[in-house]
Amino acid sequence: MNLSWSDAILASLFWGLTLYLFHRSPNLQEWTDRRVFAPRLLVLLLAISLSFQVDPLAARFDALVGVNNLSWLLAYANASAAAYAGILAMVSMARRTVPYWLNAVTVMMFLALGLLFPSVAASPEELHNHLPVSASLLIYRELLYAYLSMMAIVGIRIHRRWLQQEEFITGRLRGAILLVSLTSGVAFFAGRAISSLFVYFNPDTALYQPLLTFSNILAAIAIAGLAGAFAPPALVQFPIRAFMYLEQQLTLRDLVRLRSRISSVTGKLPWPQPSRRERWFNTPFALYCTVIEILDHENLLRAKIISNDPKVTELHRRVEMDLQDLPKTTDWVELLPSLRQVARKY
Amino acid sequence: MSGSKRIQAVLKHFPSDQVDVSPQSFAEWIEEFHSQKIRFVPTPLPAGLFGCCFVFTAPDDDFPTAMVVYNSNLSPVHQVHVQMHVLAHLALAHPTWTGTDADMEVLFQDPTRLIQLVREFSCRVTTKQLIDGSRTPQDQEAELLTRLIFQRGSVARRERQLKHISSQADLDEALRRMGIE
Repeated sequence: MNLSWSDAILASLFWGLTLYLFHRSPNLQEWTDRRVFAPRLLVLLLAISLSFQVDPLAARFDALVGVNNLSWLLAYANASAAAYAGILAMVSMARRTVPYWLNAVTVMMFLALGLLFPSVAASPEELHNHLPVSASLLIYRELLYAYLSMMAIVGIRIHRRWLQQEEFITGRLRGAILLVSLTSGVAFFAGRAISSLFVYFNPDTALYQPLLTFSNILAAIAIAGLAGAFAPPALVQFPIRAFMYLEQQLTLRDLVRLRSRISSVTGKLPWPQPSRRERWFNTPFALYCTVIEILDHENLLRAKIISNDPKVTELHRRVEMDLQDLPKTTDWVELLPSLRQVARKY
Repeated sequence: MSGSKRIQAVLKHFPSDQVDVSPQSFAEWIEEFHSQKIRFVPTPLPAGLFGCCFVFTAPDDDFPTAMVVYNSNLSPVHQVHVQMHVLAHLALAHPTWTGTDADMEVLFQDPTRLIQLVREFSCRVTTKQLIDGSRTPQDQEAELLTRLIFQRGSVARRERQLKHISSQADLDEALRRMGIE
């Protein structure tokens, strides 16, 4: 039987991440801080869990130990512990504790995994990357999917509160990646739970392979996203800078159009304009120049409106009113989204 | 000294590549560098006017005082820019209205005269409305200096953001201690 390369790659990804995080800071004192050791534990436990799910190595391990489907117990126990470590990491960052009900549910989960294992071990060996054949493993899977779905939903709720408070684009990108990962995780667990039941009761269904492929894609997104959330800042800088540049260019285009709408009435200001090189390679400078000129023109336009200048049309009056409603901030960067909204209306 | 050299001289000495550059920090630098006192005077001016600078010397003062008059009816971002622009004129040692403290008192008691003077000495009028075109190169120089200062400040802010993992200090510190840096 061929190695399940996708599972092997995902497991290797997390072993690499584990080595990276442990190597970066071997100081043992760090282990007393839950905010630091819980995420590391999450990564390590996930690496172990994913390793126990690589076909056919998992089956060979079970054969070596002489216990059918032992890799399932080890994989699921580590996955559950990893999920708990993830929630522990999140609540620790917020300087809170894990709710009692979550601790109770986790304890029950481990008890259930242990109590159900004898029936799992009594079933024929099954491959991890296949939908279920035996009833005991079906129940085992459904239990895991239910628990991990619940943990992922709790994680999403905690994480969304953070994301709302995050001001830096680096933090927002990292947070967005983690949110995508958690959401894909919920979709994967829910999808697998439903498709496992469906396939179990319809073993000859033609949907078997498409369902398996689709759920594997969701799993890959979830796991890769989780790894991406731990990426060092240097790695995320390039996509951030590219995204910022594109956004700035689109904003500049909109604001230049807005400025020319107003200046058709107010006239040309005597300021030197950013060169073409500056527009392409120093976009923040070109943006600032355009923002200030729009505000200059707005003030001059208001004077023309008050003096009943015949060149002022209804459109100019609406533009001036919209510009009066801009946020009252001293930070020009905070004005950009609102200015862009005004520009898009005209 | 050509305009661009004057601008470069100011940029060389004023720490403009800081995240929190503001009219107050620029004014403090000018006060120290040019031995001058600066006062900000927000004034509700009519639409179409922006700001101006008047310099006077009181008999008891060792240094002249510059009154940075700016239109308080402008939006906050615009007020900040206008203040910086007026300060840029001072930093570049451009000539402006000067008088004694008595002249200043009379001026501020006569709003019509004040508005007329602001109109005469103000920048930010369109090319058609320019009363005196001789000040245009100075206005352009001051405007360019102001824009360059804000551009440096925004670049510094962006670079600071890119170096940090999170704006939330606890989270940033925890992730760094975890080894993500």
